[in-house]
Amino acid sequence: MATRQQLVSDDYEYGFNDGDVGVLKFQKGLTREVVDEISRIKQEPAWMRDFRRHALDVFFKKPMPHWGADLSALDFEKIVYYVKPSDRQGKTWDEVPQQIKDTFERLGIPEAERKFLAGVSAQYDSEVVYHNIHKDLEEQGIIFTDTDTAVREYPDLVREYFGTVIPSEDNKFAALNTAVWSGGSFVYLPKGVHCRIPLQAYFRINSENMGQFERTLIVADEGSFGHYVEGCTAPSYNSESLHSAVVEILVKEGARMRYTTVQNWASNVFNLVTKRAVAEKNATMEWVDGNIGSKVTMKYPSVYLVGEGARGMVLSIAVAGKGQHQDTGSKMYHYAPHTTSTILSKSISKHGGKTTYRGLVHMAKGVEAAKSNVKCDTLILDEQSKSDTIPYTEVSDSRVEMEHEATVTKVSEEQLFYLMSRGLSEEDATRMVVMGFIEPFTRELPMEFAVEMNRLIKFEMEGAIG
Amino acid sequence: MSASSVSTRPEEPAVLADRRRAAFALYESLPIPVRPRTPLKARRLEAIPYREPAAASLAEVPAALRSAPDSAGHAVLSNGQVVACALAARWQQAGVRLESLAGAAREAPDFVARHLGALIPADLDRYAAANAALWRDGVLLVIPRGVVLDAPITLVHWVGAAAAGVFPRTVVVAEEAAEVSVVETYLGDPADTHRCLVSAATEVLAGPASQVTVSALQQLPPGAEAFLRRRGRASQDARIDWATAEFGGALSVAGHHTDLEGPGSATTSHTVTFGSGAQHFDYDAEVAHIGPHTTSDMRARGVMSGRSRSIFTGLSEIRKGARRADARQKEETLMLSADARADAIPSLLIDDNDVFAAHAASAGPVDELALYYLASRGIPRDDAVDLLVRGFLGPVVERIALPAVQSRIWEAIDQKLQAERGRGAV
Repeated sequence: MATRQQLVSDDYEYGFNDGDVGVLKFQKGLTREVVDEISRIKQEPAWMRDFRRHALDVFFKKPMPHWGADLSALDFEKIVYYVKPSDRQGKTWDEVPQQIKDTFERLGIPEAERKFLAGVSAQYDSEVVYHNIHKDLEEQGIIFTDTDTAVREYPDLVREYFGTVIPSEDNKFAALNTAVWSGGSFVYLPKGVHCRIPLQAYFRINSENMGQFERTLIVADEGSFGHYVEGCTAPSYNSESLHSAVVEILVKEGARMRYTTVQNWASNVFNLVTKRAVAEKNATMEWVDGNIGSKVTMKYPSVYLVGEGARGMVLSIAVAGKGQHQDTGSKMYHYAPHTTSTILSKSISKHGGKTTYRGLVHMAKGVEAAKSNVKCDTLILDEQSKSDTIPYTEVSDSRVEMEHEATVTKVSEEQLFYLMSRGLSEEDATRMVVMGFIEPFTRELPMEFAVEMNRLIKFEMEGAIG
Repeated sequence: MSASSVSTRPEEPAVLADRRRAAFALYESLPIPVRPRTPLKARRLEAIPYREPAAASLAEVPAALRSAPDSAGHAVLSNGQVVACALAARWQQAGVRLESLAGAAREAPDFVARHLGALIPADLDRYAAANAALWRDGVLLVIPRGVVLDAPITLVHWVGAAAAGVFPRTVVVAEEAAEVSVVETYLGDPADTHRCLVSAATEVLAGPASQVTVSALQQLPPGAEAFLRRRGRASQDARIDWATAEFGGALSVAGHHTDLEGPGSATTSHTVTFGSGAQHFDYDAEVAHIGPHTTSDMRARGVMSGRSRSIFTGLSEIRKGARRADARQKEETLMLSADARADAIPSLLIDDNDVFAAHAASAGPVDELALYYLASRGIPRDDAVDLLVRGFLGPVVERIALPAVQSRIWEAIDQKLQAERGRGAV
């Protein structure tokens, strides 16, 4: 339970740190030796080491992206690229080192575990420290493990798909991740298997100047269904940390996959993430993406709709407070007929924060009867805050329908007036309007995340009267 | 295009001659602009030979364009040189000035120096620098305080077969509470396919409570590679309305930009584009809300046929302090061909909170249900497509301030639709 202190403070709730608990921590900076050493410690096969080496070359070659958020405070030389917090992975909660366990207790994982989780994977700095999966899911043939284990235990599956959705050449941060990745989740849903309960992962950065580079690969085979949920936190340090994940998802014919993120990094984390899914014939990919924390987030979950009748959906909220820039959005590439995509984006900027919606809808030639609908709404709560909306639409066929609309407003004075005439304070009225504004998002979250999200937004709203 | 030296303008005052030299240095040093969706390098514009044009004459311009009976004043430029300029006597007496920019520069160098380039500086990009270095002539229009013109001022820019580089400039100064409507047409012979570079600049300075409407039709010859820039600055309670139609040329990089500086100033814009063949249109519609209580409404409609390509970038910027600003954009594209491509980037950059901003964009084919309805009424498919395209473009075409130019646009639409007939508008 939150304390009274937490309820009244605007501070970052998860900003505690556990001291230095790493059993193995690299020096700062990135070199070929670092990459080789990570690969050696993990006892990886040669192909993965070569994959990393190639990616490192690509990373060094690629220039920093200049088109988005300000990344000038990010110094690659000051980042620690690998921290191993525990020398063994716990199978049961009791085996996890006490200090790390305390952290996750504070984040509420065991509570959730006790309820109904399908499987929980918790990543602490670079390594997955706790992992569990229900027996019945295992019996159905569902694989849910950390990616390092997957490389060892399911080498053929991993090798077939790893880096196929997001190649190292895609962008500088995808290359960086590929070079130094550690941890992340590997999910395989066999043909026709419906995983009725969500698979969950928690990511936490504990060490100062830490870079976390988890690598997630999800393969939903034909006709399967799954829901993957991740949450992220980090302690507040004065210097910058980097989270640069890569998430690759393949949704095969007739399958449906949902990927939910509640990102609540501390306000010193650069969160530069590449998330992409490929949806085959009649497949459905849904991204539910909440960005509340971090100093800078650049994240544009995308769907390549490559099979006829594929569907893509993105539902996102971004909340930017003091010193934060949420540069988020979505990309939908229509490469097949009868594909449809929907993007609903809600942004809130306050206390001098900045939100940017940056999106793309691409309709390739020959995509008969493809449809796309994009809606972006922004609330700016005070005079110091900013918002940009930059949607790109590219239409190369005449037989498609593309619609985009966006609004930027402040909280409506009429709504406030009405609520206050009913006896609500201005603060409560504003909060109620904001909660209503993001309701289409929270509605889609699993229950405990929805509760958490509402609580986070309430904290964020303290004193935020425009 | 290549130019080895700035041609001498013997009677040009020193202040402007200096600027011209500086602009030429810029032209030589500035790189070819990078427009992500318009690969300018690949068009090899530098290969278009530049030669200083011979003196132009009115005889080169088709007779129908030499005068404009419905206008308050009429100027004709042939290949960037003024060959006719007339203003009705009553407006002369009211103090309105419609004259050759080169002539005005000789007679009132300080006035011209103050206004020319105030909004479109030479360092904007390489082609703006080319214009600033090589302009031969242009038009200066000054409407004195409180004068309200009841008919438009018409400017014809004829680009003839002899043209290599054409660099006209237009400066419109509307003093306090003045009202004027300017209609610019960029025209050429549709059978003239030689390559030429056209870089034009129109600057509009709208004084307090003034109202300026600028309508423009671009129907350049098919070999033209055009850069058409328009910029306006609105003082308190001033209003600048743009209505532009893009139909001609091989390439058109065009746009309008409005600075809403004064409190309560406003702008609207209506843009219509019809692409056919392999035409490439890259249009920027931009507004900067600087003062409080400023409003903008930008609308664009495009029809794309053949293998044509269009990029429409709308930008509504609300700067800090522009409280109660209201910015709206709407862009709609009708796709007539599966080989055409239309990109739209309707951006909002908002730095204040007590504002309203919205944009909408859409693209799609001719509505099958509407075609079916018309077919059920006995209207053949081609005719039905014509009707629907005309209905789609009508509200934007009607914003062009002169019926004669509207008719010219409808003719251009009909010609393009004629070429589409029989293809069945997939």
